[in-house]
Amino acid sequence: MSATKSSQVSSDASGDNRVSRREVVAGLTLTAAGAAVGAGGATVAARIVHTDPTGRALDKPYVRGAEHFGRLESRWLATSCGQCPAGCGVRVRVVEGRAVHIDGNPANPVNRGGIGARGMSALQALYDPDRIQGPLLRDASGKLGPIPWDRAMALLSEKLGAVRQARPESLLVMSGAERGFMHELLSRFCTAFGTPNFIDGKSTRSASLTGAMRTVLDSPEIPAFDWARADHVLSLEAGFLEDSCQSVYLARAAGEMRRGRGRHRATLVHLGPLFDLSAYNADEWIPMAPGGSCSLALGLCHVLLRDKLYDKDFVEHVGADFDAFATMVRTGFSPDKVAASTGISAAVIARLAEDLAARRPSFAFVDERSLSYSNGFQTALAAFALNALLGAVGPLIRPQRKPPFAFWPAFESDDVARSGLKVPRLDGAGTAAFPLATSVHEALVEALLSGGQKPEALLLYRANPLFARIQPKRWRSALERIPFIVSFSPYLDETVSSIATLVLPDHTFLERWEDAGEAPGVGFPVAGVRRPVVDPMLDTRASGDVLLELAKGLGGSVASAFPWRTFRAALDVRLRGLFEAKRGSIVAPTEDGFMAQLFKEGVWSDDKADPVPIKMFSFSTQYAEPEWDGPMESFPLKLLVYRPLGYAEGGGANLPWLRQLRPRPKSDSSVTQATLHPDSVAGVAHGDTLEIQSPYGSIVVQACIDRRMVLGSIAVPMGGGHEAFGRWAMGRGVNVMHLLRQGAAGPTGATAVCTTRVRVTRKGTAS
Amino acid sequence: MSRRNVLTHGLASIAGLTGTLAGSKTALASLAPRKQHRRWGMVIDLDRCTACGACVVACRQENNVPTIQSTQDTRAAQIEWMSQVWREPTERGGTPEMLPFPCQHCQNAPCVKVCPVGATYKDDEGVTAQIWDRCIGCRYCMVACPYARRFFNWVEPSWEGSLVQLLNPDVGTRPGGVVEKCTFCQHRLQDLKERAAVEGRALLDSELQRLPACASACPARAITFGDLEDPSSTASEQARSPRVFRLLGDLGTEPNVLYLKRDRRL
Repeated sequence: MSATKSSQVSSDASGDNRVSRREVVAGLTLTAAGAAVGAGGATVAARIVHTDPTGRALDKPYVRGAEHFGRLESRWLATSCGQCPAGCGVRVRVVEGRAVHIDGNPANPVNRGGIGARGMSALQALYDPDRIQGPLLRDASGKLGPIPWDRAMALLSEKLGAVRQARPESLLVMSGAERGFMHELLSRFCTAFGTPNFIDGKSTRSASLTGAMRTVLDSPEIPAFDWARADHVLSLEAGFLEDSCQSVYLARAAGEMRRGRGRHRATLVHLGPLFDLSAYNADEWIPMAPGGSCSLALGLCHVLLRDKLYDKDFVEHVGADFDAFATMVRTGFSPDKVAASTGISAAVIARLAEDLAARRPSFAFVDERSLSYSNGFQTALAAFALNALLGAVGPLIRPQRKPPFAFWPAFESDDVARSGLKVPRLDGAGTAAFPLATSVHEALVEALLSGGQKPEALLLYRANPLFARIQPKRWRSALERIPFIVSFSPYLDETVSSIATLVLPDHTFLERWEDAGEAPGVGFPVAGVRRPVVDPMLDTRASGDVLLELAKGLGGSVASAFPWRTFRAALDVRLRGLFEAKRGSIVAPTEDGFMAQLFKEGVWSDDKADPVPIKMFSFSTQYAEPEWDGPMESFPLKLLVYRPLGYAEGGGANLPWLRQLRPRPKSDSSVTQATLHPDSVAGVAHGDTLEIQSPYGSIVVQACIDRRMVLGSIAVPMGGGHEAFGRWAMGRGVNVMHLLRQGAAGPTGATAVCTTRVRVTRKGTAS
Repeated sequence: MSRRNVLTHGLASIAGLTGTLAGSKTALASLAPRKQHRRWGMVIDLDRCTACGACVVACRQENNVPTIQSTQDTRAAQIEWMSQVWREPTERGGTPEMLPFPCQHCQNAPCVKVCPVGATYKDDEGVTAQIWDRCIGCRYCMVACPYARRFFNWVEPSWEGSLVQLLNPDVGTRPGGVVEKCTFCQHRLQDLKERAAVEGRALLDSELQRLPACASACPARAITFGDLEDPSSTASEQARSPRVFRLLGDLGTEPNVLYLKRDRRL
């Protein structure tokens, strides 16, 4: 087989002088320089035969788009990763219409050529054999069955048209962690439709951080921490190398701070309850009681103020409300007091503060994991205050600067839209209870369960609440009352398989035009774009296009708000701003030339952009201890819930490569492991079967003993226990979300996952 | 088709190429084994490594390494050319350490010595190579390898449904009944040599450093590939670091994979 093929290849060799890769037959290489058959080459590869030296052939079935490639023709296409919101630049190798490799794009300043495990696994997300093949409709018997796109769109348009005429506010739209213009398109759709009930998922995790940014810097952006210029970083319970949306960027930063600056070496200290990758990578790890970051940061502020180690210039010229803050910190947060709540001795607290002051430029780092307690917002405020005293706010920490995108034209709402938008939101975001919130998932589920005004239709974009939200069963009973549920998920997830009425599967990010949203945390403006690198494999459609078509069908202000035929056209309007800026990494004389170059390189960035100026920093006196739900006597352990490395915004469970990662010593991804100190539960041994009970439910897990874990806590990763979502996801592990208390953290409405107490009983010993 | 035929055809195709390339003597020279000794090696800086696991996934993706099946059968999933191995600390209070762990490509390779059929051998450039279809599956090499970096295909490899589409066409899959291992991404090296040959130039250290899939993916730039015999290569420069160590160094296997010690201090 292989010999036949090699001789064919050799005989074709004279036609083209380009070089392609040849397969290697172990040590003996059939070298074939100049043997490529390029785009102009002879045959179309309807089927490529994947030869191997044993003569066994693995057939690759036909894929759409293969006919546009020459035999064995290989193209590298630049796009942006969509496996998490970081927006790393990637290059995808496409051979005969099939994506066969993903590598980092060196042109993208987020990752500079590196790439994470999640990003590479996107190939398995694309070729997931359990993807939804085409639109589905639930019939009278409750089964999902195929339906053609035109009928699906007509049905969608008809149903939503009726909803809009009756009560536009009764449309509920829930989205996931998407960034960028798709998010804005959904938001614009809701406004034009006339519903205030757009519940976005990105607020769930970053609400504490953005809420704090609004409070201290009056900025709507997330903060960018300049790791490249810091000499010393104090990580306050941050999970920055695991569940952060910037883990690739931060992995590079962590490598560079040690070995990338010649002889000069920056240092990293991590405080937290768990031996995670942050602790592993720190120069020093100090175990700390969970949720202790807030009081610890204020304790460090106390030492800086007491010993006059703080940046007086910054406080005098930029600081506001400093006196009240200083009084609070001086009276309430002496190292002795903080030691009691954090488990870190007063001497160590003093040393940490002195190190921060002595090794400037330095900062304290918090991310989503640090803020997953009930006091996440207050923790972020305390960390910002500490950074302000260190003089890091401004030089090292700034609001992320947005790229100069153009805007979509304004539109005029019709009477229907105006009447709907007057109705208060179901989740109470923006009201007195949640003044800093944009969406409050926990309040929404309460509102839905309490009866009242029932939504008539629900659109789910990248959201799977029946798995990923706290207490999925409660979500199910809240959402299944909605008569018309539409999901855009490409995968048969829990929400699709159990309650969706109509499924309009989206492309995966390797098949659609999109932007990657603003890069979080790099500081200067970066705009990554996505392009289809392969033709759509299945009968799916980009949700942006579906939404535009729906808008046309609905008429009124909805149609007039969306004058574009495709999402790509809408995208180009926004991206035109980058062309018009005439600066940054791509400058072109014509707009067409600019767009061609942008989609060829996959990214535009402007590292010379002026940083966002810091005019005022408001010190805040808000403080809160982390709350733990459940009586201490019957539920003695604190349950720490975290996103493991392979979680990938909930999409990692069906990707075999991610399931095989070993992010911890002794980790086993085929089951859900609970990490705990052996003294936390009497007689527990590694591999034991444990039952974890909370006031809300119980799960059975495997014990992973770690003497480094702080006493009195047990850590369980999210992402296990799927009941749907594909063959690798189902039946592996358990879903910890069933155990958690449902309650939103005020005032930002952030979902706090680490708030529940549990008890643990041994159910069986390790075999 | 017999194995001898495969080899004959292979050699014939090389001979055929010689004709097409006759115009470029430089090109021919770089395709042929170099006179000057070359030794490919890898230096893994544990001080940069963050244990993210990107190298493991990159290797699976590049080399068509079997992965977990949706069934309970875990035999194929045990094959892992590049692994994340956690070493527990030897002293009390120490921290565990993660090693990215490929084949060590020993200069004095125990696996090569025991192979009864010459399926595995040291090539001219220091790589411990293997001809998959010469392997008879006796697994002596697996016993001999002190690093357990060789893996047996207990079952025929399979890719469920559309996952077959993502197989890398540059790398053959290995059938059931043979042993497989890391090749230092030999096919990438060969591709680079061919390109350099056509362009009539020598290989550049800058294009070698991140050549294997694991090194290319690593976000923290912890893995460096290069010629350890070339004193000016980045890899050999790193190999002279005082932090360098070899795994099981006292066995005398002389691995071409070197590690740089983690350095955590405050």
